[in-house]
Amino acid sequence: MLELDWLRDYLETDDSTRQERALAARLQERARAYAALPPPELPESIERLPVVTFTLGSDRYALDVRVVRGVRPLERLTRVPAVPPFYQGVVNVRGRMTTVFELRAFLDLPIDDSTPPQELLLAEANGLLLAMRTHHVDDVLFLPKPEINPFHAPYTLGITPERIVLLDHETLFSDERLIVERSSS
Amino acid sequence: MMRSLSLIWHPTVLMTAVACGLVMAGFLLVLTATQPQLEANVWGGLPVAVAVGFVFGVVNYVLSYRRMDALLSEYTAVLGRVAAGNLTERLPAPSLSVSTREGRTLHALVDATNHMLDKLQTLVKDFHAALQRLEADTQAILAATQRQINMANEQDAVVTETTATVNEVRATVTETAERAQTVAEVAQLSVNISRAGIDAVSETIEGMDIIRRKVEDIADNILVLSEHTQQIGEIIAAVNALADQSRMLALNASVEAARAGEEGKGFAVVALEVRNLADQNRDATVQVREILSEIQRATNMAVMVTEEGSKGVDSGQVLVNKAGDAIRELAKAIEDAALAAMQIAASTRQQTIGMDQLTGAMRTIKHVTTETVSSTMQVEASVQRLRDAAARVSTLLGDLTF
Repeated sequence: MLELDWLRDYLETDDSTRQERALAARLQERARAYAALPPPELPESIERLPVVTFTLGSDRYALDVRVVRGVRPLERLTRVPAVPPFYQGVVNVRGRMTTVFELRAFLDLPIDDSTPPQELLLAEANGLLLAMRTHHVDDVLFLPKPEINPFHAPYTLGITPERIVLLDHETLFSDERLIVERSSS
Repeated sequence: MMRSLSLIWHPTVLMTAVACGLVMAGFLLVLTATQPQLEANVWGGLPVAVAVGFVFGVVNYVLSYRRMDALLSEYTAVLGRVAAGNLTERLPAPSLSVSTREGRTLHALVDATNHMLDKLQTLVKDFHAALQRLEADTQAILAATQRQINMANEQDAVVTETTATVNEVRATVTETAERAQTVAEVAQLSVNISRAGIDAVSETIEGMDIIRRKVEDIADNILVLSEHTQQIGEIIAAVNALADQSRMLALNASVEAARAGEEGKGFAVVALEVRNLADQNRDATVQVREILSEIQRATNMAVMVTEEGSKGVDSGQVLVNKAGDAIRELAKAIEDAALAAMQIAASTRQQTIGMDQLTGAMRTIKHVTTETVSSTMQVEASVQRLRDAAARVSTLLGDLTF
């Protein structure tokens, strides 16, 4: 049905008013961005860990940049029958068949997506290349190591103050389930 | 005896005595002439003869005239009573025999007199009856004239009343005529207005047609606009995809730079810039997409509104056609009403003329009624005089017995 309020609003305001409103909103946003406190400057001497951060569902994760092999959109996924849920299928990455990996399914986390993750983060460790499904590959960050709170759990190294989960690629990429899969594939 | 002596002077007795004396004197003359010796003694017989003549006359009178005399006296008395007013009196039949001349004469006299009296009595009786009839008739005439006068007066009142009513009706009719005239004028005005209304409806119908064509043009333009926004959307999707790819490339470059460590720092900056550009590109496309979706929403709304406008124009046309029909019917009804009002005005004018005639007739009737009253009053006076005369005659007749 017609959205009458919207229509009335639309019809009663002319183009210049609308543009003014949009401009005001944008300026407000920009002002807020400028007003935000800059992150505290840390001395250059502090040891930093280069990571790639990505968003999956409602959580953010970080992965050591040394195991990252690239970023690419998820295209032409080939599903594979009779495999565990975290094993989503295979894609062709530069001529190499690569496993598409769903981290949440692997970590037994709930999956309630409005849109399926469509970006792949390629990572390789222990001779295992995985294309991890992410909603968005965010950035390349250099995390100050003192700020990382150690968090002793399987597949996790710690959590940053921004609540980014730093994944432990050593344990993750050497997990038996994945190795079994690799041997079987 | 005295009465007998007075009879000597009765003419009859005297004449008889004189006649006897004359006859004796004659006889004695004759006797002396023939016999002279007797001369001395003979003349002594003359007084005797006269005396005998007296006696004879008295006896004759007593025997023949006395009864007749009594009879005549009786008759005189009877006729005197008749003259006094008693018409019933009649002469008695005479006791004389009809064999004598006197008897016959007396009988004839009595018969004639009695006949005359009979006739007189009949005449008076008839006269009395006629007077009585006259009395009754004049009484009836008087009553009739009185009634006539009353009725004439009543009629006069009624005529006066009727005249007043007719005048009132005339006033009403005049007012009606004026109102009908006003109604006719107003109706004529209404007819003109309704004609103007019909013209306006025709213009409205034409205007509706123009609006319909404009709305259809708008709908076509909006359709074209919609197609264009669709194409823009596709282009934006392509730009978006390009931006995504650029970001991916930049991210990959960043990753590579980070993996290279110190050597990759310069490259990292370039990669970051590229990524920022890609992000801006993406933000721009997002904004364009928002604007575009807004345009599409607006376009869809415009399409819907245009359709509704088109429908509104359709129903408006139907309504305008209906209104046109209604106004035409109204105009016809008003024209009929105007015609009727004019007819009413004309007929009321005729009614006014009729009322005037009626008023004239009433005036004539009133005049005639007045005349009738005065004539009737004259008749009444005459009849009254007639009755007075009759009453006087009746008074005279009242003295009579019949």
